[in-house]
Amino acid sequence: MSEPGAARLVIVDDHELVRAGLRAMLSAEPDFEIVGEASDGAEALELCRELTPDLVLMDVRMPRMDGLAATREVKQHLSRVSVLILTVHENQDYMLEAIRAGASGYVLKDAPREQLTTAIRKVLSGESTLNRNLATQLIQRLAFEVYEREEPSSANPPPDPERAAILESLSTREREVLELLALGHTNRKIAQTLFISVGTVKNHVEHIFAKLGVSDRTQAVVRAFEFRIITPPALQ
Amino acid sequence: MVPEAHVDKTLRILIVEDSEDDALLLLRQLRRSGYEPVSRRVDTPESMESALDQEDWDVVTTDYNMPRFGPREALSLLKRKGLDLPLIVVSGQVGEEVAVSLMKEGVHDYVSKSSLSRLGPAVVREVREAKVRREGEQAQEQLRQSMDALLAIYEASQLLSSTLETEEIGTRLLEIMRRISNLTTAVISVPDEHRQLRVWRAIGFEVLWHRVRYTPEAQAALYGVLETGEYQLLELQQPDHPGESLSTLYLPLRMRERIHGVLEIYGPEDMTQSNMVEILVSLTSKAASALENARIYRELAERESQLQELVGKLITAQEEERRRVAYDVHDGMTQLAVASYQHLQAFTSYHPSGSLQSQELLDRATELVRQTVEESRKVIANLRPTALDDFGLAAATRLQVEALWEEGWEVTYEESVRDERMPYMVETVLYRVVQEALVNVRKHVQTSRIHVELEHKGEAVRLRVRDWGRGFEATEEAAAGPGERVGISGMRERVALVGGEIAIESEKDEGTSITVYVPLPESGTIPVRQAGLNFE
Repeated sequence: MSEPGAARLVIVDDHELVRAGLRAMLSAEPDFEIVGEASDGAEALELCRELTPDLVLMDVRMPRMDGLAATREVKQHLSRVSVLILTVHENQDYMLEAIRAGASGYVLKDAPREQLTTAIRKVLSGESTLNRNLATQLIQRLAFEVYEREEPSSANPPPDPERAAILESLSTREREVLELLALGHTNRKIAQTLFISVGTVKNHVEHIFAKLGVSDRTQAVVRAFEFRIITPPALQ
Repeated sequence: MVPEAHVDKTLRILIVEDSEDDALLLLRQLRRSGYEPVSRRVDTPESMESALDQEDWDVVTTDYNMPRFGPREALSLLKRKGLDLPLIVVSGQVGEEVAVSLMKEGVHDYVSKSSLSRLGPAVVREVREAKVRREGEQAQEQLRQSMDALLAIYEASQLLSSTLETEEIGTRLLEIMRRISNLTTAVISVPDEHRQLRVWRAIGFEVLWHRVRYTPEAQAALYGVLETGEYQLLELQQPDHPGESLSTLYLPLRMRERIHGVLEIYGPEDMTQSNMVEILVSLTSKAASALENARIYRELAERESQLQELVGKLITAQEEERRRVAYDVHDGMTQLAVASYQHLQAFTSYHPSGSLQSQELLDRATELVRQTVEESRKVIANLRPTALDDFGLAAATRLQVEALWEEGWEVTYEESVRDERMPYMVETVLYRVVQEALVNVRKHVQTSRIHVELEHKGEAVRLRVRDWGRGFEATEEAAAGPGERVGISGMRERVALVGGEIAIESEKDEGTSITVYVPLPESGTIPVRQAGLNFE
């Protein structure tokens, strides 16, 4: 049973049985409260507008509006609502596409219960849900694509006031932290690298989130590449 | 010597003589020799020329001593006119040397006016010899014509059999016919589905065949040919031009029991002389066999393309079915298994097990359900990976490569297609080729090194799968087991389906490389983000 101040979750899946399964698994967790269920993307969007949950568990393949389209919509209009994609597909392309759409993470539907709850908690605390190797690979691929796409005009990019404002607002330290985030480092590792405390790193990260208008690390890095605030790390 | 009894006694004689009296003497002498001369006397080159132009002559005699004219002038005039007529000099004494030199120059004989009795026999002889000469020339001419015709038949059969285009055969046949016979106009008509003869191809003066072809007589003959398969030769009157007729030859274009049509030839009277009809019949039969070949070839090509189409439909249907089943598994069985797994986990968290044994059983059940999800994921990937629809060829190929890599193969992958999308069938076909090629490598190749390359260049996509295994010799491809044969021919058929080309190169102990090249239609690729994910 959920306790006061529990995170408010919405479950979106077109299979009623799967929704029931998720509800059964998660309702045992006192820090989660399931506030709503939707069976397609459009319903999910409506529900999010109405309830502004903390997190949405989003299936991908659904009728009417698929989970990725719904994620894009949710993130565009309700940027504080985090989305965790739930799917049976186990490959990078789906993860990459989910993150492109604005999801904070990606969990397999047949993940053990602990893995699912951990992922939800990580997203809620603004940490990356992806394992570090995978995150690094994904980010590199994403960065490479952003880089490639913009290459033709990179010699003389058109002025972007939003980018300029963000660049202006970030401190030198925050940009350093951002670059280490892009390498998939944990707060502890960043603290060690920069000779600062973990608490200070947490503060920097929260400031970075606010300035970039994102709610988690992965999205922060994606944003940073998109605005060319940091250059992609060398490809492995 | 007197002309033989059966010989026509009429003698057409042109006398070049300025003396009327001498001419009369000459004629009297010929009558005495049994001739009935028809004559004209001339005494200038001009009058001789007009006499030659106006009438046919059997013999020419000429005086030697005339003021403006003589044997040499007469001789050169005959030569100029191209006439091979006997020329006999009838003159007073001219001396032996002169006579000899005249004969050398081409005069046939010399008769002195003082011994005119020699004239009769000389004329008889010269006329006969001239006739022999003429006949010899005619025979030679005929021989030449026959040779020409034979050559034409030979060339024609070469020409006719060198093409399988029906139109080309028709055009060539008409041209050959015109070259070897002196036809004026010719038509090939073919029966339509109601056995009505329709003009298919024509050559020469159209008005002419139009005039005669639709007369009842011509139509009867034409349909007769179509019925019987035998040629018909007839004279057709031109309705609007009474008295003018056209020689007409209707030849069946017949190959065994099949009559492709009728070759209609119209021309002057002498068109069908001598052995021309036989030649035309023979040529027509050659043309008919060429047409039959063309027909058989066309049918074969049609059947081939039908077969191709059928194979294409089969492949497409199979692909559709795989796709359907894959999504059915994804949306049905997989979700059920997922839900069961979640419920079992929920149950576990609410009901801590009473005994170690029951805990083990529950764990086992939970694990089995999880494995069911895993299995169904494999089934989907084998049937048709959703990534192929959602992300395209490059991503789906990478998944195959990664799977191989995880099995421990040394596999490299290079691609420049990225997230560009190609037409559905192109992606499917190339994906299947990679799949098949990798299956072959796994089964037979005995190597651990593989390279997969996917390249989008201009308006084409190129796929290459190379291994460094044992390879095979060209002869082994045919000798390979049935499974492999199906694999390779399956690749070929699939690639043909999207208009591509496939090259399989292999050398013993050097490895095998499969290269596929598929042209893409204009703007054949679309970035995935614009296309959107295909989850429906």
